[in-house]
Amino acid sequence: MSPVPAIELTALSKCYGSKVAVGDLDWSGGQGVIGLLGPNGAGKSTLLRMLATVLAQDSGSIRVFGLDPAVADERLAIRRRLGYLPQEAGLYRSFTAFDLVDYVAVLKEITDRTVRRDEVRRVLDDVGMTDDMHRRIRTLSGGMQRRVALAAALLGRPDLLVLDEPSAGLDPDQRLRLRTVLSDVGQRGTVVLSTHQTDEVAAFCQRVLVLDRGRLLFDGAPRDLATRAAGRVWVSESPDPGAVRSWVTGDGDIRNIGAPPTGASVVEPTLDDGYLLVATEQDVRA
Amino acid sequence: MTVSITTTTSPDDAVVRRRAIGQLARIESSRMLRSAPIWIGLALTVLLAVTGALSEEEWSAQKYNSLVPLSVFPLTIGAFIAGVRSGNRDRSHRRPPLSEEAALDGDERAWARLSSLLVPVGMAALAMLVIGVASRIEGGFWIGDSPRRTDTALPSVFELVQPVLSVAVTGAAGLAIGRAVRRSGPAIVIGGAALFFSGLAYWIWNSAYAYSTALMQIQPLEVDLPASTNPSAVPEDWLVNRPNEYSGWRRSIVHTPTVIFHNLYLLGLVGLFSGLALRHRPRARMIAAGAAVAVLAVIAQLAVSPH
Repeated sequence: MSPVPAIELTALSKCYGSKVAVGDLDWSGGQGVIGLLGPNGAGKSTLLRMLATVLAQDSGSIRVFGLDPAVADERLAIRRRLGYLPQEAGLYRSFTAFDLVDYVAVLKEITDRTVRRDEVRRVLDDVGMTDDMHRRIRTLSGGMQRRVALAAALLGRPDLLVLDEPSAGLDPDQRLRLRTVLSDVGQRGTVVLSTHQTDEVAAFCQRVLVLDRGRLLFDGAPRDLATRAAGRVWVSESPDPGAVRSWVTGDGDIRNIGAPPTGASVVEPTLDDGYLLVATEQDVRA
Repeated sequence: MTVSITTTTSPDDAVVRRRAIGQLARIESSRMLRSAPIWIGLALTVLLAVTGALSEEEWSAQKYNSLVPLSVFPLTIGAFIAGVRSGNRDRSHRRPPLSEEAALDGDERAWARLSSLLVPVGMAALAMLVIGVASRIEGGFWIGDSPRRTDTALPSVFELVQPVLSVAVTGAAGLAIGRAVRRSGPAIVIGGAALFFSGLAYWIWNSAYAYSTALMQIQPLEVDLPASTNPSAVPEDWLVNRPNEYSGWRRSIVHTPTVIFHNLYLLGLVGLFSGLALRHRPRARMIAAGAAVAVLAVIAQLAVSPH
């Protein structure tokens, strides 16, 4: 048995008509929490759907645990070790939260009734839904429904967890709880999540990918992404025409990224700065 | 992280899979058992059967065909609505199916839902069993007018099976339609109207084509006789109805070959709609086989028709 990466993508492409959602992507990754950053339409959800084995690529190859999702038996073997939270979870509105997660547990072949019930309670507790688990889905708030969907993804302690914007609709307390849960999964397996929250990536991702228009712009540790902007972020009192991107901060200062003018007040870059710089450079090139 | 390649599927996996499908079928059946349309349908079926049995008969075969098959019509509608709602679960609200990435995919879920139709089918079977036994205890029904009349007509097993198959047809049709449409509401309204005309009111068209393709085939069949018919002169085993404001002399025939082929037609429809409720293999085969059986059974009915 030879060791293989948990995820291996080779020249992976997916198009919708003439629009390239994912273009010629090569990447491999393994244990830990991996954050996927990128603007809307960058191809994040498409990539995650392909990783989750629910969407086939147009060309190139995907290997998950060394297995090919295009082969039925291998896809099944992948699915037995996979949890996936899509952007829209398609929950059955007439079910209670408990019944819904129990139903998904059966779909995931957790057949021992006692084990299954315990597992359902565990994941609902992990996402803070214990008190509301007997309420019907249609009566739950958007954030609660999101947590139920997350609980379903966590069933069976998957080796690979693919999450499309898992923190959307969650309050700060719930986000904190989410980080704890996902960090725990990342200790023993792989978590790939998409987000628009750079602070989330900085807080608990070991690796970050920046994607735009289906292309991989950055792959590395979050601090390395921040470092990309070292010496290229400065504050000023008015927008600097030489900056590639400027915005007003909460203090009323103007924060700029790009090539700082002589004598500029250069500041320590954040992950946000790094991300914006990488994305903006891509825009300029495009 | 690096991981070791694991084996893919093994005999143990197949056992786990079968067990999971069985549990899914049980969950779906339990939800079907808690489905309001099914219980409303059953309640109306019981009501129709009881009022039909207790009412005074005003015309020949009134009880005969109101108890079998018409009393089960509400249950066929209930099974249809429950089927649409069940099949539509993974299609509604423009969202992807629940847990697409799970080991049990859409077809296994569809099989579980199809198996849950055993709940309304079982209810219909029980209703027909009660009606069949009660009618035999009671002594039978009135068909025909004197001197060619009987008061001991009993529905055959084939006739009693027909409403049970009708419930299976509408349930499977509901699942197939629910799987195909985005919104279940309009599908229920349109499908319900179609069932009304093909199931309950098809006699409006009063033709061999209508009773061969109807959801519920009402027996006895009525065959027009010449205006000069002398009821005393027709064969003794004939049941004959006198002219009324709607028609002339008619012979009433409980035509078993037609009933049998009609049951075959309904079985074909069950196969056809079950195939449509699936996404992959054996979808195409089931659709083709179901359609072929249904078409052949209609042709057979027309061929043996007493008309």
